[in-house]
Amino acid sequence: MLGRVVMMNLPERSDEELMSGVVRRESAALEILYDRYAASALGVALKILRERASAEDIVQETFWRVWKSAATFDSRRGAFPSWLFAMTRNLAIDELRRRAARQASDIDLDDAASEIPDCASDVMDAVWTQMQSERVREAIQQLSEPQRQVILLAYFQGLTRQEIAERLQEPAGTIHTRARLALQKLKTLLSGE
Amino acid sequence: MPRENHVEEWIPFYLLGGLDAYETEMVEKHLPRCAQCRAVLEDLRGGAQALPYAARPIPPSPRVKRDLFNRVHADLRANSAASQARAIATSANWFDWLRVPSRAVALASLILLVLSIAWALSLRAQVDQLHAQVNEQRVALTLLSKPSTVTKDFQATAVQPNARGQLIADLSDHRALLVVSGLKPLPQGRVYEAWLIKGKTPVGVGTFVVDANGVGQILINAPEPLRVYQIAALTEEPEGGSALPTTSILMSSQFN
Ligand SMILES: [Zn+2]
Repeated sequence: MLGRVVMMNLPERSDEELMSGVVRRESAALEILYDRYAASALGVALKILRERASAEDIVQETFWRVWKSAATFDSRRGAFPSWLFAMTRNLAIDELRRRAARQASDIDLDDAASEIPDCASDVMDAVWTQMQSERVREAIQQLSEPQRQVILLAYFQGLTRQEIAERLQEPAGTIHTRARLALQKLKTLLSGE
Repeated sequence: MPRENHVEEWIPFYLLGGLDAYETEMVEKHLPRCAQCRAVLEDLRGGAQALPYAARPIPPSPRVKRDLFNRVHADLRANSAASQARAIATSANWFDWLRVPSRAVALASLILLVLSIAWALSLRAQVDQLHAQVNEQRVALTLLSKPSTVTKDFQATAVQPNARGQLIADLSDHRALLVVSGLKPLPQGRVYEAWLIKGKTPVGVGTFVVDANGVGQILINAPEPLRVYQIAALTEEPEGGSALPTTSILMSSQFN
């Protein structure tokens, strides 16, 4: 479920094919990847930074790095979206740390209004992305509150395991167990079709 | 260190980006050597890969895509101009080669192509400069609107006693806006240079000139957060700036 699926028999170039195109300096290949993933990347950056202008800068920088560093992408080490979103997330967390404004803000899964682009060049991509996101958010809602808290604090607020243990006043071992159980449960919930 | 020197307890946080640099290094050293920990990694990877989708997707404004592809296309043009220039420079006997008239025509059109690319690039450079200016203003406005931003007087020394200035900075950030007035306009080839001084080491953080009224500004982007520096200062230097200040301090401000 985490790979791309071909819906309604649309001819579609895989992420890996497109990345080979980007390595050959085909800007059109980058454009298809942008249309496919920019909205998800902005979602990640915005959830971390909570400010649209900086989040959009992060998205631009992420895809610029895809263009400049395409040759370093190795599909044997993981799928393209994981590589892409890790860059987005790390750039956004760096920015967040620079601001040194790590307030104890509430984790709200529904803080940004859902939008479907009206002028999307690839409506199927947009729909697929929305569906994907809804499934993941439903799965996260099924985790216990303590499990959910730990993985969201780590991923979207950039807290380390030590910082989470301090923030929640729990032993590190408890935090480790919660994170592991949360990831296992997510995988189980998402792998059943 | 997790028990038995395995790193499996840390793997969830490795996947979530929640380890510090030391821990990350330990995990990355251990994984290639240990099938048991690699199995844990593979078991948890799928769950971690889903997390980016926990954020609602939001289409970026069209500006983001436009700016990105302007950069990409400029990059393509710059590389093709460079490789064509290299091709001309490295063709060994190109005088002989040119004796064939059709080749001379071909070379002339190639030169024309390179020139037109250079022209397009210079236009592009102007647009980039405008973008940079707009971006600088946006950064300055962001800085001004932050609650943690403080304003420090940038005080003139006896060299130019009429100069006035303010340094607008968030000390936890790398950026500061320096605005000055009453400085004398400089002759061609001379600039004002801003410095941040950490201990006894001055770091040049940018040069600028003032207008006919002695007004100038610079957006400083320091290599480290501003709070690590004790003093901000201004000197006059040759165009392009100096490695170390070469004239006396004209204005300064203390951070702590
Ligand atoms: Zn191990």
